[in-house]
Amino acid sequence: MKTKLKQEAKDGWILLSPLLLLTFIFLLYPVVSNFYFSLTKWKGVGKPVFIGFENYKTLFKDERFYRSLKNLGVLVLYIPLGVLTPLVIANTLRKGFRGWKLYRVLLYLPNILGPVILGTIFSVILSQIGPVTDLLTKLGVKNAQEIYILGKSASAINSLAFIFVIWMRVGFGCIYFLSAMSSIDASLYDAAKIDGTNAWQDFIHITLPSIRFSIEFFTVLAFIEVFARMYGIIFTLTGGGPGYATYTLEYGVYMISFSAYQKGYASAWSVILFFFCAAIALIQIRLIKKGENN
Amino acid sequence: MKIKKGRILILIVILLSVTLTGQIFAQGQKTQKDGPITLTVWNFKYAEEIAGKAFQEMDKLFMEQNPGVIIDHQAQPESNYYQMLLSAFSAKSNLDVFLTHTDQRAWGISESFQVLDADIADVIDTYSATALQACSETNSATSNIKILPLTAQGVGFYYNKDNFRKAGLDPEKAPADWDSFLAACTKLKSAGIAPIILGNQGSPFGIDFIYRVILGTLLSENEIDGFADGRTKFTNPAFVQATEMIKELYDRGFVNVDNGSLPYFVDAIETFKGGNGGFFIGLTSDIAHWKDFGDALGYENIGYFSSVVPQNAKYPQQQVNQGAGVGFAVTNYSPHKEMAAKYVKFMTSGEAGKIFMEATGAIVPNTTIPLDTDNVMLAEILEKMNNHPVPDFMNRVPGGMINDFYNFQTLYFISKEISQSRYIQQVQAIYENNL
Amino acid sequence: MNKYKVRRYITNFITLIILSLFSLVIVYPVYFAVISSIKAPAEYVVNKTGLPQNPTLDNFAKVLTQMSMFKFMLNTFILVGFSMVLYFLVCTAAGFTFGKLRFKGRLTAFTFILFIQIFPQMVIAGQIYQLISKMGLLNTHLGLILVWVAYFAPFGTYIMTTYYSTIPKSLIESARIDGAGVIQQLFKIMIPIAKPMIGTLLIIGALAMWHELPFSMLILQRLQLRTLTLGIALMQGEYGLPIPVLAAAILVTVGFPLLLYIIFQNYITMGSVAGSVKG
Repeated sequence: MKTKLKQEAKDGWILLSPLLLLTFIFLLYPVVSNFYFSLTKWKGVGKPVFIGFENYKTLFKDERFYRSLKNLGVLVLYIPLGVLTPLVIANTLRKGFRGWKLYRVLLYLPNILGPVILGTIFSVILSQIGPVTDLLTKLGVKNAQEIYILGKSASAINSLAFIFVIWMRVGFGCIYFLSAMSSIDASLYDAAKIDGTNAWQDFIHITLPSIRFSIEFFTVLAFIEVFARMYGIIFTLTGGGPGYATYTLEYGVYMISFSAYQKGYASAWSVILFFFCAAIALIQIRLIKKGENN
Repeated sequence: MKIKKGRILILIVILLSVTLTGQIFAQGQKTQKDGPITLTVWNFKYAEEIAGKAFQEMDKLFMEQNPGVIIDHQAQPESNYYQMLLSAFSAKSNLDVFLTHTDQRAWGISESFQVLDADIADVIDTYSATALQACSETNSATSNIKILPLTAQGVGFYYNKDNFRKAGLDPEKAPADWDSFLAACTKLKSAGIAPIILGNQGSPFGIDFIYRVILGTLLSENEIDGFADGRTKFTNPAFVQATEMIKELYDRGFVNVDNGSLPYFVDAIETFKGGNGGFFIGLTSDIAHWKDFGDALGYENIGYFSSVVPQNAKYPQQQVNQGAGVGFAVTNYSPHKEMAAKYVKFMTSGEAGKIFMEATGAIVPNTTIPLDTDNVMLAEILEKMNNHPVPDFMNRVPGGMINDFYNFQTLYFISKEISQSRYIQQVQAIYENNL
Repeated sequence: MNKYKVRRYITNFITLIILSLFSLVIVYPVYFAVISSIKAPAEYVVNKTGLPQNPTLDNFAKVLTQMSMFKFMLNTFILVGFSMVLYFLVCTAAGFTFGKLRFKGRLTAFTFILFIQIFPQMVIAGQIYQLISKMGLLNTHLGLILVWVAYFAPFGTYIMTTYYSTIPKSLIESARIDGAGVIQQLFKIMIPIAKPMIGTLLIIGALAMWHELPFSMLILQRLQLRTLTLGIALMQGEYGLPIPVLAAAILVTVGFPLLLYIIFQNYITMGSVAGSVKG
């Protein structure tokens, strides 16, 4: 038995070595080095000059930082709706729905097109002179140009949130939840039927608890995407504007390090972002361990 | 089962060998000592249709004259160009020559640019002095020159003479000052013509360009230079006045979305070329310039003037002139510095410059290129650019502020969400963030 | 019973409306890109939303001749193809280890992998460039393949871990060959068992790589090596493109994946979640 365990450990490390090697070199070093750079004044080229916590002092006075946090807050508020929408749709579809296959093809399409392409097309469509304005004018809205969805702070962040957090994720969400629901033991529903429960009660008492892990995991993925995968769509859809209306930490890291050549200061932003990501990762890890134990 | 495993193994072997060969091949190009010299050139305009073809022709000529040199011209995306340059410099990766703007995006990383003073000693007087100044780290026409100028870039107003006639305006009389400009806009508007065609969707280039010309007439050269280091603030009266003037254009409906006067910049060019609108704030090189509009509408139908001049302008004649819009530079770690400098010299010489100018309509600041002075509009532009140049404040401001500055221009002028004082205070804050 | 039926009709109807609205939001942009791409730029400025009066293919000709789109496409295939082989092997081996083997340090390693995958590309792109450059892998496909696999494999590993942990241990025990080395077991046991997951891994990995921009832009600086996604960024130049040309460039870029998607839609949509679901 002991030799077998030893053998398993040896095999394990051999099998893990490619992944660990790649991630240590290409991910761990870059992430950790940000901590050092955040304490320096550095353009990204030449020698970094150590300046202690100056960058953090600047950061806590920087309006962009607070706006980024606020915007992330708005995006996070959309996550419950982003999870609930596909969940409710999937629950209806569970009992069969004619035409679902066609909808499935359409709803999954955003994943094929990707955020950069979608952001580019939407920036044209939602612009002041785009088709949406045209349509509103035709519907009799006066001064439809004044609406300018991407030009107004409130509508810009909300449409970004709707597109990225709800709409882009609905297709995958429906398929994911449907798939999870299909593995629920049908006898549970049959038993409930005998008890005379209605569909709503079934949803609350059977469906939700059964696919709890999937729901939690989908939610964590949404957090990861909001904090760490939004650069492409912000860059193409709004450029962080108008004003700072759609600026986020991730976008700020890019703008400050590459556009302003303040790599040291941008690293301070990265470190703050690191702690957010770390928090999400910890939740995810706990979730998965809990799932494993079940 | 055995066969399948074999197949996968073969696949892996092929994968590794192909990629490794590719890698060795790529390495081989770098380490070749004897034989031809390869110059790697980066260029953010190389993927553009017209400019790209001109560059190819210029390269061909250079390679014919210099056997044993291979020009490896690589297009790079403009949107991330300086990020890529910064990365290349930091790793000292294989790059000899690159096209660059002459604004702060370049000067922010210019410690990796080679000083070209000695290389151009013999031809220094073929370049226009203003252009060399723009290419010098110390703003001098004779020393610390790190870029060689390819284009002379300026900003000015073009107007459609046909539409002037339709509105009852004298097509041969360009508006001399701000009041007559407003009067012309009023007349155009009442004749049903969009007074000003601007491209403000996406990035508000239109607003940006009007700022450049107005500030050119209100501020001295020294004050404009002050935008580089914080000496001149955005709270100064000239910037406030320019803001109020632009705001007036919006408030009076001279810049609006009717008649498509406010599309994307390139669509706005298309709109103006389609015979719409009264005025267009364009460039003197690149695109949206005399040749672009002249070819589309007929040179006799286009007029040019350098600025809208407010009553209190101290420098009413001024023409915003970046000196050089773009130019070529050499990396200071290039193993072939001499050949690279020779190439850069050639690309900005009269011989190559003429090819570029004829293809693109860009004004090449090289005095050996005979210019078509029969072209009245070009002559007017050249006279202004040569005799009344004033630096472009956008060339002085820190490169990192441009994106945020644009986002706040949108917020104030187009979405009208913030007050003027808040806007100006905000722009000053952006400026300080990036100094 | 009737009451339930009515209620069911109503919920179905509401679902139908929601689905239709969401679908419209994707159908319209694609339709808009298609009709814009066949308008001349001069026509577009006067006719932005209507059907084209004088349809033209000039924009596509411009995109295809100006940019080496076919070369880009070929590069994308080579890169994604080879990356997928490596990605699959790395994810399968690691997923099996995490899902089925028990040894000290396993959980720490798993935690590390889950943790490290979260960071945005922008935070690490600069340092990755430096590393690749120091390794002499700049402007090589191998360099990008390694970075792609490093960045995307942790998530793939997680999916495989979930999958393997649902496989009964007896299945593996019965397939176990005594005395066989670990590499032999990888090919003889783990990969055959992972067969149902090949599609899922392929879709998730390939889509992520196909859309990846910062790494490919920085590591591949030569036209001959570049990928399709970069084509649009390259073409836009300093002042942007006329919308019709931009639309054509977008359609060329997404044309092939779109075609694959239409052909294999059933497999792709369903495969994207197979096995990654846990009840």
